[in-house]
Amino acid sequence: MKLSVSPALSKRSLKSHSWLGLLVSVLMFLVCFSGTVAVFSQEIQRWEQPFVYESLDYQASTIQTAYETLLNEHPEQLSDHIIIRLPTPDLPRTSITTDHQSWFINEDGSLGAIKSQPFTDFIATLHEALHLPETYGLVLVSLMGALLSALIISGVMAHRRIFKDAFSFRGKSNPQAREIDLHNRLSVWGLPFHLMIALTGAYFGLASYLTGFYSDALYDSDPMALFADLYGDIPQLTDQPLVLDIPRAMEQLKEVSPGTQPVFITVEEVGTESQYMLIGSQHMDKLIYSEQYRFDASGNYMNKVGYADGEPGQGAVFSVYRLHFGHFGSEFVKVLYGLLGLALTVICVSGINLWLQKRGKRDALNNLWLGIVWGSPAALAAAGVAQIGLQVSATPVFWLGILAAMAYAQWRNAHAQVRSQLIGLTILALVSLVLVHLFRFGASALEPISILVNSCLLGVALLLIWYWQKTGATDA
Amino acid sequence: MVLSLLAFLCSAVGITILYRAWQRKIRNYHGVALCGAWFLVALSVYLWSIAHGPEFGVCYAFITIALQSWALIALTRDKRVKENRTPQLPQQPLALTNALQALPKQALVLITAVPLAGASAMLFTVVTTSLLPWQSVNIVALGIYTMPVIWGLAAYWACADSKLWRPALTFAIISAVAALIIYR
Repeated sequence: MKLSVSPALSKRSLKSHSWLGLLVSVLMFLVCFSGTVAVFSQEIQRWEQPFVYESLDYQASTIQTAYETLLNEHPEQLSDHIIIRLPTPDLPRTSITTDHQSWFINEDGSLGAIKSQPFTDFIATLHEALHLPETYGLVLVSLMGALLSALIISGVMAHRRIFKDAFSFRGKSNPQAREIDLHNRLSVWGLPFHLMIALTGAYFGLASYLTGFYSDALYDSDPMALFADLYGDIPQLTDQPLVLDIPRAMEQLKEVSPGTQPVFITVEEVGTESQYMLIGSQHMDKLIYSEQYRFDASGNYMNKVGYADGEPGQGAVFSVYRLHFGHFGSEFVKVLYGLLGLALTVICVSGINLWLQKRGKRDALNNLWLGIVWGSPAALAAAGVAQIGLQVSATPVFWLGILAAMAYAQWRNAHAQVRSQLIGLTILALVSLVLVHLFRFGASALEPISILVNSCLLGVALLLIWYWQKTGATDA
Repeated sequence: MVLSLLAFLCSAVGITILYRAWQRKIRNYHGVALCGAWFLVALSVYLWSIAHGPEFGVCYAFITIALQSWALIALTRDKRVKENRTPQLPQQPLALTNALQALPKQALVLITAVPLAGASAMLFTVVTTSLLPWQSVNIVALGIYTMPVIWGLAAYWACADSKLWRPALTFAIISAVAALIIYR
């Protein structure tokens, strides 16, 4: 099969690929690295509060009790919305949330521990907005999605032997040849996944700008009409009872949508005569996060938005979240997403490594990049130790950790030794994280989810030990 | 379960044939082998879709194909020891002066490849997709999924072209015409 771009086009494409790669280098690395960890956010969330009651079985009356307890005992915490998260296999705990506070729901319907997951939130906000103010951070991270698609296009155009070399890997060759092969092989075969991540990632922060233009072009500059088309219009109700009948709504849901898995209940216009309920229920054969079934305050079914069987566009837009984070199918899918996310992170690192090597010299950029790449896992684990063990905010620990790693790498100016030391530090921090978790939560740290996450942390530490021994303090 | 296993096997065999064909290990019927390999890979997507529905099926198929290919690459990697030393690169101070001198030109590339290309990609997407005889909600969804690719193409061009004014002018004209169509 002769399918190849001309040498001149390939050269120009490589120039474009390098330029774009350098532009996004550090930010793309941080987004990919944090995204790989964020795939497991639900497990980390459970590990962070391991003492919370967990069960997949619940009674609708228990939810009603929790809701009424919130109304009666915490009226000062009420807001326009109440969100009740129902237990699912990947997150088997029930919680009730207002704009101001969030509680777990106990087996008897009483309000339990206050939901507090600062380390999970730290990882999520790092991935979503790089800890910048949301308005800017979300756009910046989504911009990475658009530029990732540019990198994919330029990478494919630059690769003249894309088919012939599709399987070659010079495992025992010099480090530069190995790095080239690693970069290209991971990129080519992971392309559909990477493109999907780019497109869905661009959605979160850039869709609002695009829908602004669509609103002007198709909806007479009425964004609410566009949102009604995409997310369903807002029901206009009057004379609703002030206390919702949740059990009745859940009973009706079983008739309206049998075989689906309810995942949340949202109460809108809380405490007003126009309040109503949305029950989000997952369809097991669809990627949409959920279909939304609407009920009035008395629990009577009104209608559904139509993500599951309405216009395909609605379903496509509402599938973005699960597609991006791999929260579908079994837990095994998350592991695969983790591997693919790690591959994207490695592609990002190897791309910049190649650019640095091709310059034919070493300067401060080599050291600073080394500090960022190997300082980030160490800083993340250290941030976990600070948050879980000392209840010190993870955010400054993480960023100061990376800055310290960069400064140290530049000060020492010894690539292999510094890499080795930073890997050693990461191993130490990971083991410390497990120990502080055991120390802080005692018996709760022996819950299955805690054992699983702590075992994974130790597993990563063991893999790093293997890599540490393999590479040692050499440049190999 | 059986269908999933069959799908897994189809892609595994298909990828192995692709490997042998592209490495020139199949000399006779090379084209037939390639066609057969792609057929098996496509068949695996179909089987995954039957087993898990088209939405999950396509996801599982692409994930499996990527992981199987990487596994094959790891298994068949070239183990011949060649030059295995990192060349010692000369240490130099950071060339800040050169970087500062190049900054104005790079800033222009940045402006063309990011905000200008982004604006024109959005406006172009809105105008072209709006021509489709579809429900508005489907047009919006198509635009959400295609706009990053169009932006990607535009950014690629902006960085690849030796004459920056060409992509810059094109993006400016596209943006102006598209804005005129939307807001006329």
